[in-house]
Amino acid sequence: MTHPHDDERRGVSRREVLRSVAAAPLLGAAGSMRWLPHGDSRCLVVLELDGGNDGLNTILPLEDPAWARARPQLAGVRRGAHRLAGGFGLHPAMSGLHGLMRDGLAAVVHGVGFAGSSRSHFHNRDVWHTADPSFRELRADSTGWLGRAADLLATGGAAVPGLSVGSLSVPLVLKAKEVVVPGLRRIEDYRVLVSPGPDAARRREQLIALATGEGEGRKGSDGLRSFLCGVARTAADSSEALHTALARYRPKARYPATALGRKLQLLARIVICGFGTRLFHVNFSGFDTHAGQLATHEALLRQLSEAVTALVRDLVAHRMADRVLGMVPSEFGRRVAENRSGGTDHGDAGPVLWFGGALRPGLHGAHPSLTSLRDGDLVPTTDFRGLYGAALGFLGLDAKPVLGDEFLLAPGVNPVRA
Amino acid sequence: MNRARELLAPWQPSVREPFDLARAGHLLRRGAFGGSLALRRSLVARGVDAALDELFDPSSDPQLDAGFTDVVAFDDIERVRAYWVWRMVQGPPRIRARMTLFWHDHFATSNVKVRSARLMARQLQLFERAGLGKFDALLLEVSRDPAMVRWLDSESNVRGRANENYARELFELFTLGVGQYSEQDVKEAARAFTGWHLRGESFAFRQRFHDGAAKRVLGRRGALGGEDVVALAAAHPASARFVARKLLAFFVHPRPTTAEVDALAAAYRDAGRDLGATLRVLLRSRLFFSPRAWRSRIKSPVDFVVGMVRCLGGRAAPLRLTRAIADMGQVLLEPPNVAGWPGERAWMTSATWLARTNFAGRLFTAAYKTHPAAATVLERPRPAQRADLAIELLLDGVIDDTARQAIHRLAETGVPPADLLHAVQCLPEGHLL
Repeated sequence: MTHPHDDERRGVSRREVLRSVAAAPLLGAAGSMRWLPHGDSRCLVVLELDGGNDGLNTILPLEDPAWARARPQLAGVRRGAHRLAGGFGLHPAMSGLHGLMRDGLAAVVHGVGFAGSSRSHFHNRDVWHTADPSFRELRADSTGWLGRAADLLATGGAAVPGLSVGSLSVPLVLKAKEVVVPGLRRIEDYRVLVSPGPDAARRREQLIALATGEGEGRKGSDGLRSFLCGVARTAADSSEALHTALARYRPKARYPATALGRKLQLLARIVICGFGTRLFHVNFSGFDTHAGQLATHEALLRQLSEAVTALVRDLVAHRMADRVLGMVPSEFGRRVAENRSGGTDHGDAGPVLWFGGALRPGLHGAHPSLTSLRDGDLVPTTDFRGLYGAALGFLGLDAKPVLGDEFLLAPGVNPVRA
Repeated sequence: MNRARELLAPWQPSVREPFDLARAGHLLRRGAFGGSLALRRSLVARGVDAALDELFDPSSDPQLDAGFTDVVAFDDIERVRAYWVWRMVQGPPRIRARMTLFWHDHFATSNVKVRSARLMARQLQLFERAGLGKFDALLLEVSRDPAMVRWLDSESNVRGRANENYARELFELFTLGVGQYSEQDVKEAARAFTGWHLRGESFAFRQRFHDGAAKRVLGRRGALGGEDVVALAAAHPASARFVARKLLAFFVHPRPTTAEVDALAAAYRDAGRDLGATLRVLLRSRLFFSPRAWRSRIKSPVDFVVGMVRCLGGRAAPLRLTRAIADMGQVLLEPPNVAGWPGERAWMTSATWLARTNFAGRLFTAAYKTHPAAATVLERPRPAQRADLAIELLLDGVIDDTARQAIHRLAETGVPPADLLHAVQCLPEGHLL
């Protein structure tokens, strides 16, 4: 096949094409919607601990005798715990996170939850995702709070406001009314791939030319054809632009070789290359520790700490930390008393970890009492929607259209620097 | 009425418009999941009526169906998904199989909430068994299907505290459409369904939770039960048009005209709401073989992936296919919500276009070992022959002259046959159903 425009395409005009499509939709946006870069705006990362993290064995109430009494076996983690202010400790496996806290790059809010928690993974997760404690059933128009935030951002011009990182299925929290929030598993797949060989670049060009109708000089002869040619053009150009931008990214921290480490590095690359996505959701599962918890929980917290530490150190080295806020919720905490299998059962309130460069360091809010329990569970001291409000404030978004109300936090509880 | 009759009058093959490869391909893509070049050629030789007989063959294949027993036993959603895709790839070309996918989208039930692979598999079995019968019977079975009972909260529907979820979707999404019923109809219909629960994993009517008092639903009064509401909804005049519109959008054109809807609704009523008889009329009609229908829809990921593998007449690991289909935006057994997949242009985004393109590339590169039809492209000595065979294999040989010339030029550069097939599949036509 002849390529009359080969030289031109490889030369100036090709570069111009790429420059002009820096403003093209990346993922998920259908057709030829415009995408506007928000290179200098702030991002929110929600890293969800799926399964119900045992908060009492993460942020340890070392000086409360009721803690060790309720957990004769699990309280063993006090040995090697990292000391925090106010008589608390951090799980020994989280040395990276401890370093972040010392440097003011991580914080904690105690006792987060909501009234009417049900001990059901599914119900509680749906409530956290929708920000609606009265949520009962999934309906055609159910949306999540990050999805509603994505709708607000989309009206401001971002066609890919949110992303589910490391997974192709998009959780309820990202379901929006207007926009489709896509999932991204591997950035390497986001490119036209041809079989390897000496002339791979030329074969890729040929394929793209045919798919976009360019090699044939017959674009847009009818509606569906021109739509499909446009999708192909946008996909080919935006993926090239993204890979060009990503090629400039150099990791400045060592990420652990874990699934979570890979997800957070993928996220870092997208944030650092200035692609304009502002809401990220990452799932980290395995926290439903009913039996033999000590070893499982330690492994999970180590992976969490190492991956988050690498992400934050990388962002700091790239001078991006001030623009990123991370929040680490879980659908519920666990029962105060350990069970007879060396584990813990579904409970209620739990701590929420935060990371990033825009935090008021330390431990915030009141720790729930370990003796005035409700049905064996901690009673929440802070409504989770207040944290969502703080996160939305960081993004410069109104809480009201997203959460239905302001949900202001009590004085001193807000972990986000004004 | 005359015009309506004309639309659905049997299409007559002629010298100018023969039952050729393109029409056989169209019939197979819309009425089944596509077919190999050999199958298409044999249908052309046997004629359009024999082709329809093949599509509507009611016999079932015990070997194919045996898998249902296995996946029900395994209770693993990935396996159910893979088994279903395997059926689509390996099964004979049957409208019954096509309708199972149609009903999964129509009665869109998601395992995200049902959380039982076993129940999802049983729902598929129901569609496979009853999907071509009378709509009234199908609707009643679906209303009692355990996956549906869980999906739309029928178990919390009890006397004195009616849960409206099923009643609302029954009217809005399954039979009538918005505007054809009142809020009062929903409220009272919900009461008629009280006590439609499960015992274990089977449907059970629990009298003590049932509200036996009088209701008024869609203009009928009495101590109505769920069966009465199902019968009323299925027989409602708006329901015939609603079902006709959905069938037309699936088999003919994504935006049916009023005349088309009226015509098919009349045929559906004449057939006593028998779906098989209605579809036989539709797929034999002038409308079905008209230019309006030809390549007027965008392939769903299932159509794209299963169709491509069937085109090559080959095999592929079903688990890999279900993942590829998911990468393209369609997680089977997990539709995004109770309205099903938005479909058509919504399938095509930058990310899903890349997923389609890269999957096709990998499939064709690997094709020579497993797909006999792909290997035949290799054997043609002249580039022009290789190009024409690739176009015939994947696009029924129908493509405009400029595109054909471009494919010919590509073949003359001596690219490997896999690249040639890849290029043909990635033409805009490759995404059209």
